[in-house]
Amino acid sequence: MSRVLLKAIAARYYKVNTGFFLLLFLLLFCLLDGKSTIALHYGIIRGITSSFTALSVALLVWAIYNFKCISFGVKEIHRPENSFLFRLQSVDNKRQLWVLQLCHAAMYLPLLVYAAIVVIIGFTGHHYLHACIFLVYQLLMCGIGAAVYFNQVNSTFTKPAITLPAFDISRKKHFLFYLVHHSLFSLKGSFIGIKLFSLLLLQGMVAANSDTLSKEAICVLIMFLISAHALLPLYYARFIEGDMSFLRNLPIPVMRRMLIYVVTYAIIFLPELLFLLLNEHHVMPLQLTLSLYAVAVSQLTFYTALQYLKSMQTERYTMFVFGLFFINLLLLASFNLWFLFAVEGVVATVMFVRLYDGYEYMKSEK
Amino acid sequence: MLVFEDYKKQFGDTTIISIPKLELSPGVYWLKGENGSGKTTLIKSISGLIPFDGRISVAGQDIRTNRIAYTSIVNYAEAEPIFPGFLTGTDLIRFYCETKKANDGQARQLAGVLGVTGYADNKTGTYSSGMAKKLSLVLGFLGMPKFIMLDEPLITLDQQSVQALYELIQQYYAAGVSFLITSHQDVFFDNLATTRLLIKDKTLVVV
Repeated sequence: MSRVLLKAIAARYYKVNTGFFLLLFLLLFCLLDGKSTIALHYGIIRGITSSFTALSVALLVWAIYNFKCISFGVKEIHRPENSFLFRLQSVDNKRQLWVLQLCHAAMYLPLLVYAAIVVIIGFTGHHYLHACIFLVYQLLMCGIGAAVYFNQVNSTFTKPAITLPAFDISRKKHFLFYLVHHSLFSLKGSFIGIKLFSLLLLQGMVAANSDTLSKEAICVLIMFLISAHALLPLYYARFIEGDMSFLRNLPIPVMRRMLIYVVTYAIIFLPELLFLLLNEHHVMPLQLTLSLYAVAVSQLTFYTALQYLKSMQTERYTMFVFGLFFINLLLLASFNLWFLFAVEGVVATVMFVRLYDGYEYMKSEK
Repeated sequence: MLVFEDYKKQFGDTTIISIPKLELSPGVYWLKGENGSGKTTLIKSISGLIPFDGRISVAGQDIRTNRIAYTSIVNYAEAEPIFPGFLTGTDLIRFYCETKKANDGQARQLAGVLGVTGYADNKTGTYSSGMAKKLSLVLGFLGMPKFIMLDEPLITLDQQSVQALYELIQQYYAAGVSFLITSHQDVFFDNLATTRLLIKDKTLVVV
């Protein structure tokens, strides 16, 4: 039973989030050399075990990640193809909780491993209170996950206590805004998570470079922002070609079909644009801010065109994004941003137009 | 009306269906075949939903050379339609009217005949399979089609809607529209002869 749950939920979690984990790995372990990386993490762990402020921040980060796992798990339980999971209702509560706990722990595992190291270092450094708080907190996080799933599986016949409101931004929905509506309707959790993560990255980079911003810092900043959104083109292309496959039977020009993506990305990056315009106007000229925004939009459009390549599975796409991260860093550092925006825009358009007719959506991609 | 030239659809190295040459004159066609024989694949190819090798043209229009003109005259209603949950039936009908150049009067009439009017303003995410099916049929008739494909149109429909659908097909056929219908159930029309098509040995034959 636990094997089926691990396969249906936990394994899919890692498959869907390959890009997220790669980005995290990149951020946490690849930016500095080996010695400095160890020193950095040791410093963070020492901070958690000795300072209440650092401990509070860590607890918050662990809670956010736990929320991400729980949201995914709940969404998976309610997927039509996973409706067989509700058969768990006929299993006794103790066993149900145990298998659900295992499944949640499998998703929570990366931070659980990190937490275990924190606790061990805490105890060896005689910071017993912090280490104990952190340990109990992890048990609580795992318990909450299992309890939420248990409640979802066993409450098919009761009305949910809380439901997130659906954002209906306008009554008449224009074709070009379908993906924005979809994001606010079906991808609420992921969408808000990505935006928070992106703004957090922005705030961190900006705080680290408060007086002046070097070109290198700007390049890293924009690539992180884009990478934080890199999963959206994947979701969107699958949604348009899967759930809205009927669009292919409608007389809509290919360029207009591509425009739906461009308009969506232009809207999605507006919070970042506003953030930079409001907070960084003293170190970043308007033209630079606008060119960063334009590059971000064209880059995601390019990522969208990549979805139309033959057999573009999640893993393959993640590898592309990973490779493009470094290539683009080099390109950004060597070229004018407007030039790069134009080149990427043209390449994305040519690719999309050429690949569109030959694309075939496979249900297994969902 | 419908012409196939060297049509072939493969998944990997497996050929699902292949039609070297076939021309179908205007009419109402009832396509039969076992489960997995390639009926839906063929219909999806004709409607432009999936890529294929060879050529398919409808009323002289080839999807490869003129997608806009082709999709303006070829309509399709899916066997198991799914719609994005954030849109209402009205949103979709309006959108189809805009793209297929249909007028509001036609949309209202179709929605009324097939019994969609009562729930069209609700989000499609709340629809039952029968309600989604009726909406997909309304969308399948919208505009000025010359060829309409209905994939398993009778499943999940109530008896009253089945009757309304039969009448619509006869009415549209009288106006010059051809049909390709797949159905495991028998299709009966009072005053209309249907030609049977069968997918046999991975090709399409007129029975």
